[in-house]
Amino acid sequence: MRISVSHNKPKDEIVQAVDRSFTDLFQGPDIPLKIANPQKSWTGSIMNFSLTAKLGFLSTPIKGFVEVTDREVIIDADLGILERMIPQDKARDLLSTKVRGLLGTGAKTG
Amino acid sequence: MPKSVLIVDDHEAVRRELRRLFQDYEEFAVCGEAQDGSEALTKAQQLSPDLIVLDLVMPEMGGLEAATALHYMMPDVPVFLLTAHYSRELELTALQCGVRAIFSKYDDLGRLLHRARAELRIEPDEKIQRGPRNHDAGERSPLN
Repeated sequence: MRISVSHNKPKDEIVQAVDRSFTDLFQGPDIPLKIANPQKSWTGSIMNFSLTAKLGFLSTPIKGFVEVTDREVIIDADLGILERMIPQDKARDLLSTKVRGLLGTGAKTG
Repeated sequence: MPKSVLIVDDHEAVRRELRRLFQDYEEFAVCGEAQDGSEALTKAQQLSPDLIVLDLVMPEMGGLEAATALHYMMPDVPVFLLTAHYSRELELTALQCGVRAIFSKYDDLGRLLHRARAELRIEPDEKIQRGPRNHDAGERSPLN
C-alpha cells in the first residue's frame, strides 16, 4: 500500500516526527494492534522500517519505507495479513489520518 | 434460503465428513472449503458465509489466528472451532479470539448442528418442517 500526504513544514521537522513516532502510524482505536520489534534505518530522507503487529493470536510482519520530501511524506508499506483483513480504502484512510495527525492539521492526502 | 457454511480443515477426510453432515440438512448449504486459515480469510471474503467452522491446528495459519482475523473482518458471522485437542483452557482462549463455540472432534456433532441452528436463528418449526434428509443429528458419529 502506498500513500502520500502533502505538508508545508520544514523537512527536518517532518523527519524528526516520523523518526519519533512511526510505530504510532499502525496503532489506533480502529484496530487494537500491539507493535513489537520495531526496526528503522535512515538513508538520507528515506526511512526503511519493519515491525511485527499483533492482534490477539494473530501476528504479522509489516515492512516498508517512509520518504520525506520537501512537500510530501510518502509511505510504502506491506501490511501483511492486515491487507486482507482491512479493505484497502479503509486502510488507506486510517493510515492517511495517522500521517496527517503526525504532520499537524492542513495536510492533504494524495 | 439455506444458511451457508464455510468449512476449514487441512484434512480432506474431515472436510468431506463435515460437508456430508451439513448437506444432510436442508437448512444448511456448504458454500466452500479451505485447507488452512489463510485460505479461509480469502474464501470468507469471497463467499460471505453465514457460519465458519475452523480446525485448530493447520499449516500456514491456525484456527485461533484465523478466528481472530475473521472476527475482526466479519464480527457478526459465528465462528466455530472443531478440534481434536479440546480442553477448557483452549475453550477460554478461543472465546477470547472471537470463537462462538468450540467442539471436540470426538464428540457427537449433533451438538454442533444444534448450536449452528441457534446462532443462525433457524426456527425449530422450519427445521421440523423441512427435516433432515436422511437421519437425525443425534445419530451422527464423531469425526475421527
